[in-house]
Amino acid sequence: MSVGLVIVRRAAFLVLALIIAVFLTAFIIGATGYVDKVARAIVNEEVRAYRQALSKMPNVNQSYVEEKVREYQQMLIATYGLDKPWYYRVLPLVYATLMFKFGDVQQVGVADVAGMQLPAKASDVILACLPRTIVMITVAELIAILIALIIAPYVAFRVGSLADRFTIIYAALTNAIPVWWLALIMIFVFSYRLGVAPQQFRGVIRALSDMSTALLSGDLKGFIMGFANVLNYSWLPIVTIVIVLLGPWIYNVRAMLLRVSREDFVTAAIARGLPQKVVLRRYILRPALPPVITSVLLGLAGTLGGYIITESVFNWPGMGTLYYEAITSGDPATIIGLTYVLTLVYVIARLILEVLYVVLDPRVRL
Amino acid sequence: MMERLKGFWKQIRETIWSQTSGKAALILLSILIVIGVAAALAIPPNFVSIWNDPKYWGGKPKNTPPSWSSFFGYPCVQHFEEDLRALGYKLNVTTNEVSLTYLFTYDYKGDGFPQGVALKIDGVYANGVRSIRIEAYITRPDGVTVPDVITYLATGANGSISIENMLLNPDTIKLASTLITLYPQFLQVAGVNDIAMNYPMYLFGKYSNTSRIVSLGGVYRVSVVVKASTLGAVTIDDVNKVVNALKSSKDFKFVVVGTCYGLLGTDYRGRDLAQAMFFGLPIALLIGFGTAFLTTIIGLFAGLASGYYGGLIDEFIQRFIDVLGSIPTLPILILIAVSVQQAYGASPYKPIIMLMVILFTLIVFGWGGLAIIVRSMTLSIKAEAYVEAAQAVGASNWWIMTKHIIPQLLPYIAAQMVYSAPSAILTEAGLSILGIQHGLPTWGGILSDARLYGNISYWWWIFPPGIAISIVSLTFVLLGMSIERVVEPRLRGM
Repeated sequence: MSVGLVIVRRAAFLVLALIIAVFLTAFIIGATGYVDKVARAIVNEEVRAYRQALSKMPNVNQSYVEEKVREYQQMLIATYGLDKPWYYRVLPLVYATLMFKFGDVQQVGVADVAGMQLPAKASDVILACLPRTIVMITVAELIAILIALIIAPYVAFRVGSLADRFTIIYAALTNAIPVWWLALIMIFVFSYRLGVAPQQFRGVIRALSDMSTALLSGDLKGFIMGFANVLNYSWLPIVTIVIVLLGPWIYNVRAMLLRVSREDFVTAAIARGLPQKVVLRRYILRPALPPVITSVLLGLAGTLGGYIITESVFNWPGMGTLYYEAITSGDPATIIGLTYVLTLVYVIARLILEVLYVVLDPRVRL
Repeated sequence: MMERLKGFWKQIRETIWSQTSGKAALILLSILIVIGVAAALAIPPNFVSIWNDPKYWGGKPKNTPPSWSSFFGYPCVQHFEEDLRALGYKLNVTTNEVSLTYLFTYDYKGDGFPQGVALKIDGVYANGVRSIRIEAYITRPDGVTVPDVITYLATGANGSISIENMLLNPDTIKLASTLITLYPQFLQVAGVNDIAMNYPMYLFGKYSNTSRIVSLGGVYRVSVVVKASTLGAVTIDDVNKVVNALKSSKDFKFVVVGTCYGLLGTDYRGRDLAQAMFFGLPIALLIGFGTAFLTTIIGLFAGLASGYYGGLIDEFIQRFIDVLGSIPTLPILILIAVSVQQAYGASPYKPIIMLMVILFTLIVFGWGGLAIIVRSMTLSIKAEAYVEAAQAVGASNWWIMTKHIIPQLLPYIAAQMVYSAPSAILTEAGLSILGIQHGLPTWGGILSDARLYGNISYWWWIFPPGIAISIVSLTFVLLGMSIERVVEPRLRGM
């Protein structure tokens, strides 16, 4: 098979996975009655408004109004498909979602997470929450990855040394500690006991919008002020996440480097008397690149969904909190929209990887 | 097969034990298993209903730190309970009344004030008795007796009395006026209502020269009097009946509600956190082992089938794994859990159903990674000459898999299984933290209560469950690391 065909085939399956994920979500929220509940609420609201409008007209017969209202209600029920069982509505819902038409937010709580008022589109709410997750979780993951990429080659070349042992102990410890528990502890210590961090993190909504307006208007001083304000809110979550993620990242990158460093061609390179730097750069880092890039890209893509539990502990108005609020309060448009967007991001990351493999690994091109 | 397994175990034991991390993991694991088994044996069969029964925990201090926190300078009044059933009593009989007087002492250290006093009575049944009157007197270290601190009168319909699950507290206004009669100077600091509201401060305090109420430490002598008036003249039978009714009661305690309690403190309902921590261990281990085991089995056989048979089966399984891998697991898990919570909200089996559904979803989404590893290893083993030889002499597929392939996969599978054990525990705890509660007293459940009902500064409520979860997962992580180093020699030192 040619490389192009392989990529196209993978792409087809990834799109299929995307559709199935959306279908599964639609199926679950359909079977549990989420969609029906919301559709019924919309119908009732519209019928009430229609009745009010009719009653305001002069000289109308009451029975005429009743009849008109009933007709209107029947029409609405048919439009929303409420006269048929829920499974008739799953496929239209899947189709609309795939076309990025998620619909409107129904719950006050969901719009509140985004810092918006109620007539709001699900896509707008999602877009509002995305930057907040990026400044907290994606930045934290990026910092952890950068530190790991610097430290891991260092310890991988000194297996068994004190630094290496310390790294392994640190990795084991942080692998075992739940992020959200450390978050509770950090809030307890830094926000309540020491008082150096905020106790409420919702203020980041304001701080971020201040920063972006300053950036757009070219106000440098305002931008720096806004940035400092955002940092004031986000430093504690970032530090928390970096502490916990750093260990597993170093350990995994170290393991990937070690696997390569035991290959015969590395031994041969060392035997030829090549300088250590050359061996590291050309014979270890280069072959270890594909797995490292895979985990970096997939890790970063995964952060966009937010850490539901950790964000909830910090009460951070990001994607995770939005997801959680949407699920618990029953907001189908946001639930399905988020699932779709996150799966899409993941699928795109996988596709980029497929192409990158071709570029990075010459064996694929053969 | 058995021989090979035995040899494999011997090898694993020797190689793991020879590593520091492996040694630590094995020691930790055996400690956890011993405590877990002990807890599983000691757990009362109805522990879940006891845990959720507010009456059972009445009379316990609420939101209080552990007893040992006084060592760290926290002003702390130890919780005091005197079981009156175990005490001797003074019997006094008049023409139509039997009275029992229980005398005991309460040693008050005087560092802060208690939260209150109470009498807890449960399961007192007596026939042929018109009424039972209970009174508690407290004689303070300064010699003054405060009468009627707690009073209670139970009258029975047609001569039979039953007292069930009663928590008797003082009538605070009455107690306040009694205290004012005894110590008029109290009125200089507070009004009657204030005294009634904060009665422990005045019951266990004295008026100091600096016009403040300070605690009055010393020995408090408490007497609890139970007076049973009989229908007719008192007979020996009546006396025995009253004495037995109290002796065989389910609970009969005098309580001085302290400001710290037990080994790990209490939560917002006065529940003993140490108990939940102790009985939560077997649940956590079960969740971890159970899901890890099932996930591994499914991953093993799916990967084996995929690699061994190839073709359409392989394609199907691999694409299925792709789809599963692309779906965001945690949101789907939360969605399913919330739906189940709403659907089975009223069912008595809700805790079990919810836990099962959560674990089932974790298993369904969890086996993909292992299956991919098993598939690639199976592919390489299948190409070996001895497998071909076995096929040539007519060995069945099952024979080849169990004799030639699975034994070689075992070490990897062991490492993977051990690695995946903590993730189920962490996810279960994480879901609880979000408020998706199944109602079982798990460690995650304690943490989620701490977030919902507690203040974040109740450290005794947040630290122990998290530390316990971390220790359990640390054990598995260390074990997984050492097994991994055995099966992957490249990870070992130069």
